[in-house]
Amino acid sequence: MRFRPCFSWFKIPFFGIIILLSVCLSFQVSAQTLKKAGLGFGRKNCKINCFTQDLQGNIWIGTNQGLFCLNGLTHSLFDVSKGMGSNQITSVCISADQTVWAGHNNGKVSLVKNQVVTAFRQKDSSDHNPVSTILEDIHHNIWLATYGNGIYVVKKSGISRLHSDNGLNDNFIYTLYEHPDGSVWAGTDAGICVIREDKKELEQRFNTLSMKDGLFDNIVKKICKGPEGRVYVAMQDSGICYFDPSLKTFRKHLSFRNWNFGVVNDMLPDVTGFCWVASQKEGLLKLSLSDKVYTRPVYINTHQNLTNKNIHCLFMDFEHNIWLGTNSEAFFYSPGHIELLSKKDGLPSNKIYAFCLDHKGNRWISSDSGLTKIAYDAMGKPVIRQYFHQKFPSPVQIMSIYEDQEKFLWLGTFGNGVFRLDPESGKSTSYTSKNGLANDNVLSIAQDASGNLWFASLGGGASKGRLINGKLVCTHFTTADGLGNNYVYSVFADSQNRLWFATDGGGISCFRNQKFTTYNKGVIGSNVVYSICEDQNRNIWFSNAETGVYRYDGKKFELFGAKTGIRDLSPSILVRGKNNDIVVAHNGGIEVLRKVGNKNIQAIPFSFPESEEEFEPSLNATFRQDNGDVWIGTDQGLIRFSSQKEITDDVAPKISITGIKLNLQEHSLVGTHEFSHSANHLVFDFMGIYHKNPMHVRYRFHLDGFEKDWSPETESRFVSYPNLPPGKYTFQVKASNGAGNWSKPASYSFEILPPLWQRWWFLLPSLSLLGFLVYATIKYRLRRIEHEKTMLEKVVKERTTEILDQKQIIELKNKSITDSINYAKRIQEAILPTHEVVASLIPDSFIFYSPKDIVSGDFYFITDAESIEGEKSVVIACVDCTGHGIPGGFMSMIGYSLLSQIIREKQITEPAEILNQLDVAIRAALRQEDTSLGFSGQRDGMDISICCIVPNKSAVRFAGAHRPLYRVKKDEPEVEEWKGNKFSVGGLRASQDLEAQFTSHTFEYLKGDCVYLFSDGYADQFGGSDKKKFMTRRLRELLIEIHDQPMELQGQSLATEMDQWKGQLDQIDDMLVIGIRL
Amino acid sequence: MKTPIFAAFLLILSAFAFQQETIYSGKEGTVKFESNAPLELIIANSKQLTGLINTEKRTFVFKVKTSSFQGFKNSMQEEHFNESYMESDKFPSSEFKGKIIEETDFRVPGTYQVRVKGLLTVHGVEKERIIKAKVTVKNKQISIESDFDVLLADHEIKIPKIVEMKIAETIRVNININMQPKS
Repeated sequence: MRFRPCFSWFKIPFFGIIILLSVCLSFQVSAQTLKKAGLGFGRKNCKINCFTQDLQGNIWIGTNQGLFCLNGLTHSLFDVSKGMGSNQITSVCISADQTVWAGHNNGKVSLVKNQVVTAFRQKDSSDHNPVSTILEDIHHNIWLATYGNGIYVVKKSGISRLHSDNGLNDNFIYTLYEHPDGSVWAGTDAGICVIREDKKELEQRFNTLSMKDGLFDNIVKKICKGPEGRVYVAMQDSGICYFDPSLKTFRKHLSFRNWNFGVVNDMLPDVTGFCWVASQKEGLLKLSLSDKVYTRPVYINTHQNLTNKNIHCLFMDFEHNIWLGTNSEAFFYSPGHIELLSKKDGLPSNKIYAFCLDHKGNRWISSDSGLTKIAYDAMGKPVIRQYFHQKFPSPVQIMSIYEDQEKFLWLGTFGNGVFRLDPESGKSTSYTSKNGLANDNVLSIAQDASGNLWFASLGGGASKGRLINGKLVCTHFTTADGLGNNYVYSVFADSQNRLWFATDGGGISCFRNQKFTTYNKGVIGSNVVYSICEDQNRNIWFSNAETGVYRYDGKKFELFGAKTGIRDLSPSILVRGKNNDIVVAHNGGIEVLRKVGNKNIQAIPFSFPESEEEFEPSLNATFRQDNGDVWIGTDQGLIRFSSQKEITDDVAPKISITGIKLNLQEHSLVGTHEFSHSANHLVFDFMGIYHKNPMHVRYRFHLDGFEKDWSPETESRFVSYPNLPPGKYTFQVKASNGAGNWSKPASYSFEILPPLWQRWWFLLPSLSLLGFLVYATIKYRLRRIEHEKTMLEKVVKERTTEILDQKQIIELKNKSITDSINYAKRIQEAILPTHEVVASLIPDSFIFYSPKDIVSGDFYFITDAESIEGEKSVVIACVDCTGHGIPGGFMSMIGYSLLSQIIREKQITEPAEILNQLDVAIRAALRQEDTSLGFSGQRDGMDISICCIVPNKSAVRFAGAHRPLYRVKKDEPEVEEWKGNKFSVGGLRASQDLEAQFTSHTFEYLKGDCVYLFSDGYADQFGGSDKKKFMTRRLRELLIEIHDQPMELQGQSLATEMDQWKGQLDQIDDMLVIGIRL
Repeated sequence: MKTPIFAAFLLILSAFAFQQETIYSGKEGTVKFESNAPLELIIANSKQLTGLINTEKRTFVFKVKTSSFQGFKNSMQEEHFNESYMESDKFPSSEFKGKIIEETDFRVPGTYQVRVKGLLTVHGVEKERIIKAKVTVKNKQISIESDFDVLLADHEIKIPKIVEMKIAETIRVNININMQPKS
């Protein structure tokens, strides 16, 4: 792909017309880096008188409309409405305690601290002379110089005045300067008054340096410190000089001699070896401080913003920006890497084709308006001449400019061959394809060590030429000779006497020892190569149209492309910059390829100045100055690029913590740093001042004691910490200028006090007290317990003794009672029929008799009987008296006695009648009808089952009170039951049974039948695995099972069965079972 | 006997005469100003410059009536000068007073390049100025000549935009005055 520049080309006959342009202004420094200081939109005619800067970075500007404070983003104004002595601020100074001292034109002095204005009242209020300068010396004394009334010196001990009456050489003081030796130099109309306040003798206290001492002018307007410790003096009419301490005289630098720039309003020597001068006649200048090499002045006086020459004051801030004060506005100038010259700066056109600096430092600029030469007169003012400017029939398009070894300029053109121009006379000679050249489109020219000129053409290959008797004798080289392509963009002669050709489509060709070696896409990434240069290490660098930049070290090609950081991979400009930097330029900007530390080569990016349209560098429109500055021609003007690190690059913003809020309430930064536990919502405001690029400032913060790491970068200028727990903290914040330069952190330490109840001096005694109380309580309790225990033991002992006594008594009584009961048992047993009686009356029978207690409530009655009619029978009764034990025993005695009486004495053998009689007798005996005895007595009675066996009739008559009779027939395993009446003998009866009689039952029996009479004790006994009652059902089953056993055995079986059933359980009632085999 | 008395008399007389010669005054000095704008050249002058110099104290004062300037191209120009720009009714005169910086001995005849510093009051507005002047002492007369510029904006003399091309921002002023000892 062929490179087609974006400009048209015409052919025009040449003739040179010299146009002398008069003083012009500002070709030297770009206007792009001059910015207006923000004093407020719409503010007009604000005359700037003075500048200063505080430690936080704020710029203070004294004007005729008050005192401004700028932080880069906003400004604040202090004027009479805020308490200032006047709106005319003639001088300003910041003391060590950061108080702003402002002097007024009416002689007053105002102080500003923490945004509060106060009047300085110690100065003589009748003195209305303007305060010209304010200075703080190393002893923190404040010097107030006036126009016409000498100097006031404010000390802690008081204020004194230095006047012409007491040694000062003049009362009109322009300036003050504190010398490193501690003296104060005052600039006056009578020279410099050197004041040593510590001396008492007048001769030692005041000393004058004047024209007698070599000072060039007695009217001294400004004194300030310069580089290398020099003291610079600006005078009314003699410009600037400096005091040489070794020679003890005044001298001038080369560029300060022959001063013709008028009165110096202000000056600013800086560390770069230049001095900024605000002159009345020529505006703003930049002059060299060199004593060895003369450098012409740089004029900075016409600009789109800076139209007024009259600059009153200058100031350099921490960032090395230069602040300028005029009659109407304040500006600041930020030095940068890139300066742009354009039509606004006086260039004839913005479309730059080529550029060259000749050996005299004259600038040759080719544009679409022709060729412009910018020379400088002795005063450094530009003198402009124009060549080839005519546009009709068409201007000559000069695409390359080269100064040969004879100091002639060779101009390669588009379509017009080359011109050899004599820079002194302006005469030129044309060489075209008709008289020597291979082709009339010459884009690049070089010269080898032998003095041969090489012309690179579009279409004609390369030509090697030499002037012989005024004729250009050329040898042509094309692809036939090994050249990569006949379209050659650039030719370069390296330090090893090789010629390099960048071609369009043929890669890069190297001509050495009469032979071409061509390198193509295979090794260099593209066959279209644009630009070539060489570094200090003799490596060859070139740029191509596809992959970026290559470096050839003689053996291999190394690519530097996107990975290196090059933003455009078809850069048209490649040139060596300062030191070993390789400068790459393309539409997107500029990169500098540089090895940084131990890392590989990196591309450091730079941007073109802001513009509405994109910058397009012109091929081969580049030139490298001896100092390493690179000139690049673009379609927006001429760029001067310095890859050298700028002093301002490493300057970080000034960071400060501007405010703190506790629970959203403002808190003074100088107030206490201890906050109560409830004031634990903190908001910190902070500000990083960086005037050069305030919008690029970034912050990181960290609360030590709460956060582990620093926060990520942020633009925010505040941070809040809600609900901080008690503890000690340090808030830190730092700022960067957006280019990775971070400031040291600003910090604020504070403590959130714990609540009262968490403080050690409260906790410790509280806990101690609590512990003591607990201990005391425990001790008391223990003591009480001990005491109670002792008392209890005593009581227990007493009670035990009592109990033992009572036990003894009880035991005795128990024995007595038991003995009585046992005796009662013997008595009871005595009345019961003996075994012999039972055996005689019912021989085949058993009686299972098991009292619950010693004395039983159950008893059995067996007797033979004869009725009144003479019938003989055997009466058997099984009786269960109410209760058991002693009461049952007593009842049994009564019952036995009454039965005996009824059956034996009254000869009643009918069971029912027996029961009836017994019932009456029981009731009478126990007086159960007498209600006065209480309810309990009326309950006593008997459950009886009584039968009368009449042997001669083989009949049994039965009656029962709550008790049945069972019969099990021989050989019939079945229990027949005859139930008794459902009321007892004696005791309570239901109402319907009150008059009821007992019922007799009669049945005949066969021999071998068994009848059984039993009380409820056996069936009611609990036992078994389920601890249930034995139940009559089980008894019936048992009787069926054993009925055919001998009666004695049956009795044993019943006993055994009960023992097994009962187990370990207690017997709950008396048991009585009588079994009779009939 | 008479000689000492006569000598004393001469001494007193010379002292008196010397004292008399420290104050110099002038009445008919000339002031010329020139405004050289791209579209118009305005020149006017006044012959009514008055002044006083104290050679011992090295102080001076010069004054000129604003309305005394003549030589305008036309009456309209003069009218604009007095009414619109200088406002002669409000500010009838311009004045320059101050001190001579160089410690020149004006008793010695000769030509001296001095600088004078003082307050230049034009259009009622004061401006501190240091101006170069050539002082010629001859035949007990002091001639003063000076050329200096006056920036109209310094004295709040506003130039309407419409006439920007006709009135220069900076006016060139020339003064010339002969001064005699004040009797």
